[in-house]
Amino acid sequence: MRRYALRRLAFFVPVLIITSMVTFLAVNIVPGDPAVIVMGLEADRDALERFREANGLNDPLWKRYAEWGAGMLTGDPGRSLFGGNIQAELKARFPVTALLMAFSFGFTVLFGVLFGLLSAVFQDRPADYFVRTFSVFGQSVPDFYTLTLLLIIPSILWRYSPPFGWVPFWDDPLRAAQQVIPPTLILSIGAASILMRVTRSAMLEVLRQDYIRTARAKGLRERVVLQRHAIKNAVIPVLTVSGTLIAALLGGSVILEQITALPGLGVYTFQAVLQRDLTVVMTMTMYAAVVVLTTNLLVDLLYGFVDPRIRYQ
Amino acid sequence: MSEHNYWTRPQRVSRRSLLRGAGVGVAGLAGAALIGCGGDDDEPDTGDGGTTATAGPGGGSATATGSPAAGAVKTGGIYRDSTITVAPHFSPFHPGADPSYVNTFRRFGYYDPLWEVRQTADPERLIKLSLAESVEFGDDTTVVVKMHEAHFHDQPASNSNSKVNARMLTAEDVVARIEYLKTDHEASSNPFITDQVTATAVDDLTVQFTMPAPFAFFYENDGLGNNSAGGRNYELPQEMLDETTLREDIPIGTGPYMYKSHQLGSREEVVKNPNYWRPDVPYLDGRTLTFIADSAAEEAAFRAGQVEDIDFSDLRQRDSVVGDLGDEVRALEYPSTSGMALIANVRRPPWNDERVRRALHRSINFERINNVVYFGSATPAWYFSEARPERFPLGREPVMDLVGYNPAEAKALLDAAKSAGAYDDREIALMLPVEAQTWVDSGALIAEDMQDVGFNVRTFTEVRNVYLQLAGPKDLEDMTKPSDFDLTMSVFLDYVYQKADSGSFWNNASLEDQEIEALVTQIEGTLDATERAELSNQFETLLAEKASNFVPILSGTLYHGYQSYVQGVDHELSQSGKGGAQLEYWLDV
Amino acid sequence: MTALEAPGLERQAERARRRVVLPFRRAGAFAYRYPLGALGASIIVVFMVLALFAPILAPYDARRSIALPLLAPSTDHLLGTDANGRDVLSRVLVGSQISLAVGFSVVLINVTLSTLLGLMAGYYQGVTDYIIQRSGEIWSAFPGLIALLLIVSILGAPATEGGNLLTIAWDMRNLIFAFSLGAVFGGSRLVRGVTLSLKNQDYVLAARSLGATGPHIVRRHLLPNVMPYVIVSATAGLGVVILAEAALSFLGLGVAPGTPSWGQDLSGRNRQFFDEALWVALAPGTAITLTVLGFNLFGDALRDMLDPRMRGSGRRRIRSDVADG
Repeated sequence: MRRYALRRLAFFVPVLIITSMVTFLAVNIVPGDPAVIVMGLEADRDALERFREANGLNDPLWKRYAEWGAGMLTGDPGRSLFGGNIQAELKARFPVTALLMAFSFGFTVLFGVLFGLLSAVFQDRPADYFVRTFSVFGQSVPDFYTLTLLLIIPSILWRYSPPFGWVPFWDDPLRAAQQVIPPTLILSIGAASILMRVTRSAMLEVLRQDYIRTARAKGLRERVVLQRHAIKNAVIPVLTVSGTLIAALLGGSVILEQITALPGLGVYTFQAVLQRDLTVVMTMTMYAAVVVLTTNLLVDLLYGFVDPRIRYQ
Repeated sequence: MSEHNYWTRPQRVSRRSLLRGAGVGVAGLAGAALIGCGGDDDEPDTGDGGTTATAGPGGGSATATGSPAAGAVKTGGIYRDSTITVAPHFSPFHPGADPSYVNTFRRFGYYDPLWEVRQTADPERLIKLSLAESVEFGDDTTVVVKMHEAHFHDQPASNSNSKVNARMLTAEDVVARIEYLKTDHEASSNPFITDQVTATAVDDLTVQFTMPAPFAFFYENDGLGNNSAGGRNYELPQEMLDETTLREDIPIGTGPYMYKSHQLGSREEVVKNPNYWRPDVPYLDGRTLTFIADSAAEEAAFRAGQVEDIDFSDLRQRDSVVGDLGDEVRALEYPSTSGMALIANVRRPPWNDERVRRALHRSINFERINNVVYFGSATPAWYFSEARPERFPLGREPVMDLVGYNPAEAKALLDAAKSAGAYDDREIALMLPVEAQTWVDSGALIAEDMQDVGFNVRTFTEVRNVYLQLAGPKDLEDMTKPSDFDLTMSVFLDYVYQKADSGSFWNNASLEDQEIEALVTQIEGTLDATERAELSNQFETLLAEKASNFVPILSGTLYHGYQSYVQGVDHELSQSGKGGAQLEYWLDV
Repeated sequence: MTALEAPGLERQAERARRRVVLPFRRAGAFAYRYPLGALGASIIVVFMVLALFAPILAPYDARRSIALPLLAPSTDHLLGTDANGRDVLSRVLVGSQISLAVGFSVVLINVTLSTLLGLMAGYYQGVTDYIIQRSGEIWSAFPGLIALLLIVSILGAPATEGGNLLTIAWDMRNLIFAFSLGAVFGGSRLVRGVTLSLKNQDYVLAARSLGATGPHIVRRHLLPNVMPYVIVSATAGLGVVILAEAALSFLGLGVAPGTPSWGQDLSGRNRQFFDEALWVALAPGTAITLTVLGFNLFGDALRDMLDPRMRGSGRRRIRSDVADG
């Protein structure tokens, strides 16, 4: 298993190289001229040309790629075309997104697995129907709309809105809690609904297996049957889906950050794509790629951990 | 009135030079700033002076706050602003294509300009002096500016602090700033400054500007207005005149507020500058600025009392909020300077044909766009909007018989052009920037109108940067190559953009007509306001006669709201952007 | 498996008869056993019919502004008008075409490809697995939304002049491509994970030791066991696609503005007026919710039905003789 993990880790390198090349190409195919955006509408042609020259936009692609790659390797992603220091932005924004992800993924797993189990155990009983109905609705409402309602309804009814403007978490945890918890709850509804369905599906399948019947037949209490035999065996699909949900939540956090004005990495990247801020898009793609790759690896390793029948080759 | 009275007219402005005017330069997507002109030494105080704020009834406000009686002012408190655009850096000179309120906030917090230009027809109030104590016009080509004694912030957070060391602002700093703007084209490139103006230091506090020829728009071209994208006469220490420092170091200026903290992409705090050169202001202890991109979220913040003011996105939003909150909020409305217009690419057929252009003018049903998209709150305008009184707008009425809505005639014109082979019924693409919702919605209606008279037109949207690229000059070396668009939208522009080669993004707005260009040159060199008014109206009429490829449609209304405990708001100042230079706000709580 | 003996004529006739009658009987049995699933299926059918006949059913031109904005529902405009003075009912009807065309295309592509790839990767492992997994890994390393934004930025926001579902799906190919690309590898990982855990099960080992070939094991033993997961994720996927289209519209990068689509109608200026003109957002919102609800209910029932380890006799009856061959 260690060899497997190491081999996978070694594979990160080519994946990241290919990913960065593809992104680099894609970003450069995207129409739009960063020079005009940075310099403004009044800029004359000399100014635009000077900007392109100064920022290497006229260099051949391979050269720009090499320069950027060298920068990344030395740990300095460089500067945004707009003059911001990417490292500083990352430092300021990472805690926000990390907190959002921790809460939304936490809520997702908590509610998804909990209600999924409930629903499977109480199949075709009121609790099951209730949970399933909720999950169906939870999956079918666009989160940008519910997030809007989350802000606007309390402001009309009670003249309340969560505080806007981020301050570092430990400066004012209460403020951060108000900012983060309600929207992440909303955001996690969709993902939790998916996880709940998968959990339910996996559990139902396991509950119909012979060894469960055997366990019940030999008189084990239902709780023991569930805990010792059923849940463990239902984990694999749940694990897989949880891994992919992280990516979905990352996408959702862009919308969340956009609406609730939290300064995370999501809006930063989104704005960079819109503004053709090449360096930022590249850098963020690479960081996101590392996160995704690591998550995938962890999920795969966890497979073997929870299910010894899976062998790594 | 004290010597430092903010509102007192400069005593040394000579009558002879009655400053003659100026005009707007910027036509950024967000709108434009105003110009100013000089005063008159027979009238030392225009009556709006006073140590407290005035609430002059500028710009057609709906509801008004009264002028606070002297002594009623409460000091202290934090004013909480919000904005929908985030500023990527601190530089006041690198605006980018996003004229950003954040930058306005920063500029007016950290820096003082020499003067500000405003939009008003009142010649006494066109220019508001700030750091400049007086402006003297030697002759038609020189301007001498004497400044107040002002010291730079003692800002420990800035890397440049030890170099600047809270010293006094001198004429050398102003000269260095002009030189910087001339050499660093990336900073608010402006052909006028780069090519024409020379600044020299006369003594520590006196600067002389020299131009090669009389130029009516000197003030705005050096200063630009309160909310323009390219504020250029913000004074800062010459030690900081370096692109990286400007963008990334904590700013140091002479302004009323000092940097306190910021959270990237989210929030910025400033505190009162204890050594501000005007001892009476600001009344507030500080201000915060929060970035809230979403207008529904901003409305929630305003309703919950988390921010002191809001720019409503339209009339309906204002009615809804004001209807719910009643007396707890005040609402203001101003005519917008920016407006909405079409630009047809005159270098592409069929727009080189005058009949087709006139058919375009005649096909657009202004009333329908107004009712559907603007809830009836917009006004018709021709080339300049009423909010730009110093531009002497003619209004749409006098040119209605040349370009007014008349689908029957539009159809006839278009048919004539088609049978003459001037329009081969090719599909015309109307390009819209996806971020500007009202433009996108209006664009759809315009396309319908155009289809009704026989144009083959479709709309498509692009994100802003692609839009900018497509609408901009196709080839920087060869400006005669046509740009990559047929028809697109624009804000109202200025005289200069009717020149064939304004050398900028808006190059395509020009009809490339010799007669019009000659008139623009004449306007720029005409210092006398009355004469310029005559020429300006002539200019507008000429555009209608020639069915210009620049098609003004309407100019909207801006709706602004603030909590009723905010006192001392000067309408005329807030008109040019909340968070502008006015310092006499106070909080009655 | 050895080749089947040629069946007798009567048996052939019987089979032909069953082929005609069975679908109805199966549908009846399905509705009887899974009333919620039947409800879901009816919702889907209703929206499919609406989408097919939307151009005829829509009372007004959904693309044109034909009245004042934000008119309340009335006899002229059953669901009122939106912020641009367009008929909301017409837009919801015509919008169903885009949502369904995009949703179905993506799910179809996704299910087919991800099942195929996942089974191959999970069963054969080795080089096949390596290639598929690594390609998937490279692709999935792209953060989904950035990839989506980049693709839409490169290919452009799709517009359509309407027509039937096929032409609309073709017009929407940029979006469909972008969504499918993101979903396929995720789906194949799921299938692979399940396959991995199944292939060491006794019945698979038994089949293999009896000399069953790879394709046979995959088709007969793995596919049916993998299907429940695929179906569950595909039905959820349909909702996800419809919602993703809406989210892209919210970010300004979905279908071209003005194009009637549920996502488009729920964002933009329409989103601002929910307290004074609720109907504007309620109509497309309800349409989205109902459709996704339909697919989810139907998918749940299908899952129960297709699950090979489902207890009870219903399954045998419905699945009939297909498995006996």
